[in-house]
Amino acid sequence: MKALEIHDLKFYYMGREEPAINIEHLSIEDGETVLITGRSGGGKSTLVNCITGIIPHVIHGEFEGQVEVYGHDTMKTQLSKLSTEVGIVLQNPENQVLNYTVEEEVAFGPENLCLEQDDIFSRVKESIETTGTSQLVDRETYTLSGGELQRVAIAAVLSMRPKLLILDEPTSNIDPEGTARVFDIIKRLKEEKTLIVVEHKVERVLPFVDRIIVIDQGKILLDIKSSQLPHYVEKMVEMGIEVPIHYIYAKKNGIDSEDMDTIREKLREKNMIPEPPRRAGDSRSIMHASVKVSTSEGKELVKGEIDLEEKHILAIMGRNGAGKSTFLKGVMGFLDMDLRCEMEIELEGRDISREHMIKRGKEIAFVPQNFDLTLISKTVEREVEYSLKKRKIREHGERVEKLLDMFTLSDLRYRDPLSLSLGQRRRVSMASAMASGVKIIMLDEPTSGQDYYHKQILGKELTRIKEAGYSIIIVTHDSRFVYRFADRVVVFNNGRKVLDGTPESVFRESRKYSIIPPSDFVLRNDEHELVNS
Amino acid sequence: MSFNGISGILNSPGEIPWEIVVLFFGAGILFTFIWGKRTGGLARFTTVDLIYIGIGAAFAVVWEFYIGAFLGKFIPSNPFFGIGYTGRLIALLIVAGLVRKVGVGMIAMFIFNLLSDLISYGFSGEPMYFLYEMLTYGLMMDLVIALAGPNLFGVKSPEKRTLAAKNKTSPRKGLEYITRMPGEYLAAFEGILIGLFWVVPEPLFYGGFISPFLYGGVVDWGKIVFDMIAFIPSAVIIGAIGGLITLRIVKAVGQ
Amino acid sequence: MNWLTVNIISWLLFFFGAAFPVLILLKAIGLTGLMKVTRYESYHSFYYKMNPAVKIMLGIIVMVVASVTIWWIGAIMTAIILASYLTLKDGKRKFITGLFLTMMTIIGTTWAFAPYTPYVILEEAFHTGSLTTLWTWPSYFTVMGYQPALTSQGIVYGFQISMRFAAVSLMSLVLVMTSTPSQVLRSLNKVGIPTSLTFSLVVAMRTIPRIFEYIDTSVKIQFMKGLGSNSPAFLRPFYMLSGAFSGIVPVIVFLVRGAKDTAISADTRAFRAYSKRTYMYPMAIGKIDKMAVSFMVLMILLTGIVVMLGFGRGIAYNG
Repeated sequence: MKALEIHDLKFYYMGREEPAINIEHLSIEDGETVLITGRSGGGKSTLVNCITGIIPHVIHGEFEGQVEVYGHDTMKTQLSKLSTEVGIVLQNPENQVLNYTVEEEVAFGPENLCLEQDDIFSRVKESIETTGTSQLVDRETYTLSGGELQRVAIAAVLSMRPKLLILDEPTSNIDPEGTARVFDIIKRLKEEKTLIVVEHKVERVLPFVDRIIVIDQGKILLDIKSSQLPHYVEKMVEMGIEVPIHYIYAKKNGIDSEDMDTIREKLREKNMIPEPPRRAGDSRSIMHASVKVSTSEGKELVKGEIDLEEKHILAIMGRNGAGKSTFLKGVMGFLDMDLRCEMEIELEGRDISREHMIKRGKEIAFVPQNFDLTLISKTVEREVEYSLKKRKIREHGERVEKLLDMFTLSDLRYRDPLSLSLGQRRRVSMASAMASGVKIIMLDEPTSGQDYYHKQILGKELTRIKEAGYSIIIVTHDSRFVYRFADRVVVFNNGRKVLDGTPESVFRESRKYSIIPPSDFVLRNDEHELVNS
Repeated sequence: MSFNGISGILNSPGEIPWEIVVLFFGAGILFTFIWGKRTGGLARFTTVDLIYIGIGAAFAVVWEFYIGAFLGKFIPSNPFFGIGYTGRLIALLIVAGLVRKVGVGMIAMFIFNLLSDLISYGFSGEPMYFLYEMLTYGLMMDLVIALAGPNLFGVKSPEKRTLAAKNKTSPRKGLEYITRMPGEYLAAFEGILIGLFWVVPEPLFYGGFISPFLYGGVVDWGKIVFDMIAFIPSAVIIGAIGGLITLRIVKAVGQ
Repeated sequence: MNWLTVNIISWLLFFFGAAFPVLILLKAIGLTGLMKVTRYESYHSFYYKMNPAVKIMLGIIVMVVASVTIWWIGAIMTAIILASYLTLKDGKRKFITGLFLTMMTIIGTTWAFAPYTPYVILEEAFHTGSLTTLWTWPSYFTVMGYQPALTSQGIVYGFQISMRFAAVSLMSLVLVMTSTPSQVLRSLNKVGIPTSLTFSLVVAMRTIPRIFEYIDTSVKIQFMKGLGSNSPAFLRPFYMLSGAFSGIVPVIVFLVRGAKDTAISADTRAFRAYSKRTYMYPMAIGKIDKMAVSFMVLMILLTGIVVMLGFGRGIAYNG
């Protein structure tokens, strides 16, 4: 039986002349696992909403054509009926989990279906077992980490017992360990359900998908079996999709293999192993920070130190709860009052450990993960000049112009920052943070939720800023981004710094801390050597 | 007739006759019921609407019990400016702007009350306050929504000319403006209108009925009128600001 | 006493009333302490086994009894409910917290009535034609609704009124401390409040801590960008407040942007598929609930008797 059958689908959002999705035909067989990928804004979410019935039942617009899920026409079938055929897990678990305790969250769907108490119990038990969340059952949902929350979200959808499960970028907001566990669940579910995985991390899902569909500008650009991927590598790169680097080199060098070791071997034979990305050389230390944080009861949370060199990008990695954020908060003076903190922060030879965040902010800028929260002014221009005005810095006009120019914001200067696109908003937030003449910029998880294309743009932006004389610290879970753009990496584990060095040296040992080296690195370095190390 | 010694309270000098109060509440409940039946009631509100109401209620609680409580230490109770009023008005304007359906005022008011009662007041004075706030503040908000139609707070109006020129934005394709008047003016105007409506219930209902009825207060019509007039300037300012904030939020999220 | 001293003392008294209750609480327990003490913890004593709907009813009965009887009946109920705090988990600590909260209610309510209550009411309530003046306010205080002077009868009157609130405040705290929010919501559904409305409540309750977190981030970033950088440190609380105001719009926009995902998550899990829902743990009426209901009936009967014996609202109304 067909799990999904789409004919002549077109959907126009209100007030738009172009359709957001335009698919002549698409069908997915029962039991298939399909990867849907493509750039952000290309129409993936619209397609997914058409499959779940959210379009046309909840999101209104002009809907043409037919979408059938296990024989049910989504237009004619009630959403509640569809919800037992198709379920969806979204990108940000914080937004989709809505109940107070984990057990209630998992029971929410079956309770809505007015099932008998025994049936609800058995569904909850089954879903919790599948997702390995039994130890979380009594926890309040707001106390869970992102990874735990995402597993609970999956359990909550599984309790509806859908035959088709859609996972819409399920790992883009969570740490490597959480990501690995979500992928484990997906592997397990592959045997039981039809799966559609919307994901930018092609490299990670490739081992268990049967088919790859690329969507851009609302259309299907590519629909191939996953085994055919090596033949379409160039096309996918052109479309801005992240493909495993060894596929690209194999294709470039006429190597007919998909196996990393074989490709590396052949490349070595041909002396074609690519050079690693250029790292900034040693330069003078601009900041040395040593932070020790403990609770009022004396329990140690973080003890670590970092050295930031001038014109360097330093990446901080580690599991959720490893102490990265607490460490950064210590550096900025953001820590909660009830925590005990001992710190030594030396910035260009000056001790700033006792300074209030107002003073530290003169030299250190911080862009949080939720950078939208920082956009308080009514226009882009005012947002950028905010700190200059607050700090009464003269000749600010020139500086504002320079920053607007640097972040290509000049044309948007009178626009409300909150109404800009995601990428533009991040640029405004960065420009505003840097305005008062800081030397160091810290970014908390800037890669989270971003597609390959936007991550490349971010990486280039950061490199440009670095070359303009700034030193940068980023907290990220994205090994590939770190490998390509960072000069040094620090890994935290259980509150302690455990690794510190160049990406090349750190990725040799990072698996111990659930950080999987990217294919870029593995291609250049023997896996056997890594295991032994 | 007297019960429990409260006889004087229903007919103390100057008190709003209880018949009028009962009539108002009765008519309000009847109107809500009939309107709900005609328009589909709660089913007309989508899940997103209910979430917006929840977010607005959360904001109102944070305001009332934290920001407002802190400010209250420095700003004594006075007839010119109300901290609680400010927070509730802005929260409700934002929710109304996002949902834009008649009924949202009363539903939001119900949720606000339930939440604040669950958290702090222990249902004291209920169900009097539920009815009173839903059928005064909530109902007035809904009246303005009904009058304004789909262009509430100018969400479907062009930008002010100077702003539009600066932003160099052309209208979105297919989006037709309902009025020519810039959205900012409409938002401020409707915000002020709601703000002014909201000036009335507290002095009138509280001073003229609830206070003598529940707590043995004395009705002073001079004070009631003074309280209403004294509050107008801040109501105008807060209403206008609230309207403009709402327009900004609604436009930013493309609602 | 000269004009300046009178004014200074009057304004101090004015602020004393507004700020003192909060100060007591913050000094004694601290805000975090209060939140920790008052949140739900599981335990086995009778309050925890009671259906939240019954607890809400109990609160309403306590309110009704307190408002129709003489003040000392409210005081007795306050003492009994406070004593029952000892049966809660970590009872001693909760009892002390309850005691502080009661003091707060008494001082707060007394001060809310004492300076404002018209002399005519006080004279009627205390069957006297002469009131004992404790402090004479500057004449312009009358603009704020103050009576010309603070009287001892005004304070006693305020104290007696506070006995209408103290018991019910303590009772409502029992509800919060002994039931999870979801239990409360389920029982609200049970008493007829539609699922749509309780859903909004759930969203609100989950959103409150997020608003704090986000506003905190926004304010800290503003400080880093130089908010208050040219002012002395003692003014920082005010800048913090101004930062919180500035943060409101971005915080709401951020939350509203996530709302669509929340709606999809609910709608694709059959939310509002039917007008009712079933529950994994339906709210049952147990033995303790039945006993509580019988107790409430008894309370109502006793109240009737007490009122008939002439102990109805003993002040202001029985002139």
